[in-house]
Amino acid sequence: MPRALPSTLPRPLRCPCALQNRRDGFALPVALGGSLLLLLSSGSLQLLALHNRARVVDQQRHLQVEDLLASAAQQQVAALVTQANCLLAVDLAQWAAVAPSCGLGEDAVAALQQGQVGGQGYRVAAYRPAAGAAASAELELQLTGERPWRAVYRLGLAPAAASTAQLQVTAVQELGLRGARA
Amino acid sequence: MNLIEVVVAAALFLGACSGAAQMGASSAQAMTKGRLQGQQLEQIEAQFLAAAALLRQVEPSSDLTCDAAAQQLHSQLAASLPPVEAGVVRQLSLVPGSIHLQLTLAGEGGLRRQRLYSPAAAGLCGPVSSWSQEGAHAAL
Repeated sequence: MPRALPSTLPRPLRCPCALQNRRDGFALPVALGGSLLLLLSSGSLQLLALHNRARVVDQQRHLQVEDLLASAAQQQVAALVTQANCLLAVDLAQWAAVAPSCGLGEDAVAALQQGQVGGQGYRVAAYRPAAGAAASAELELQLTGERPWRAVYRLGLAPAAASTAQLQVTAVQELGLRGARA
Repeated sequence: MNLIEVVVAAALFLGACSGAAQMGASSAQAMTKGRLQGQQLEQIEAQFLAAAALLRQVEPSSDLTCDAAAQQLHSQLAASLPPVEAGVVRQLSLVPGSIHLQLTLAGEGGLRRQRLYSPAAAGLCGPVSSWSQEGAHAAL
């Protein structure tokens, strides 16, 4: 009586037609794989382009905020030099107390502490003359819109040539943005 | 492998090729535009840096009125700013009714920056009371 064949023979030997069946269906998986590869790589390029664009837009917005605050600083310094020269040597907290001695009323002091530039409001967040003999002061401005960015500027001060009792601003140096605080 | 399988596979692959080509073209266009805007931003920044350098170099003086100092600063800035390349438009003007100068630079794709400069902030003039801020507010 013949012995039964072992049941653990390798598959090809058990059914040689399976290899042929597998060869028959290779076109669709290859096309599918190639298509996916193409779409993935072009999608990556698209993402890179979008990221690049977002970076440029963000950089542009940041620069526009810097421009607004720098313009506000020029405007504010000009107002102080020409209209309220006596306040250049005084801390912001003391402006209201010192202003009457310079002939400035409450309204004038309030107007000096805020302004508008480029359709955007701003306020003077701080004004600190340097202590001692150092002829400088720090001016901090804050936008009053939805994103209250702040920027600090260092002002160089010197006695005015026309009258040593008065000061003039010799330079305005940007110390940078301090970010938006809600 | 039969004919239907080959046709379906070819259609799938061609569709993917077409989609990828469109996305690639769109990406290339966006990247070119972004690169151009980046270059224009650098050019514009160079203009503002040149203006800031000039303001640091001017000698403080209070001999002039602020109006005259603004005129003088306008001339100096117009003469010393580097030329702009194609695609960037520069405008330097005195803000009517104030002592401020306004430097505006615009590029392509809505790129636009502007800043005010005041001779009083550069030490070119001293206390006056003959100007108002309204002109500056209206101009910007």
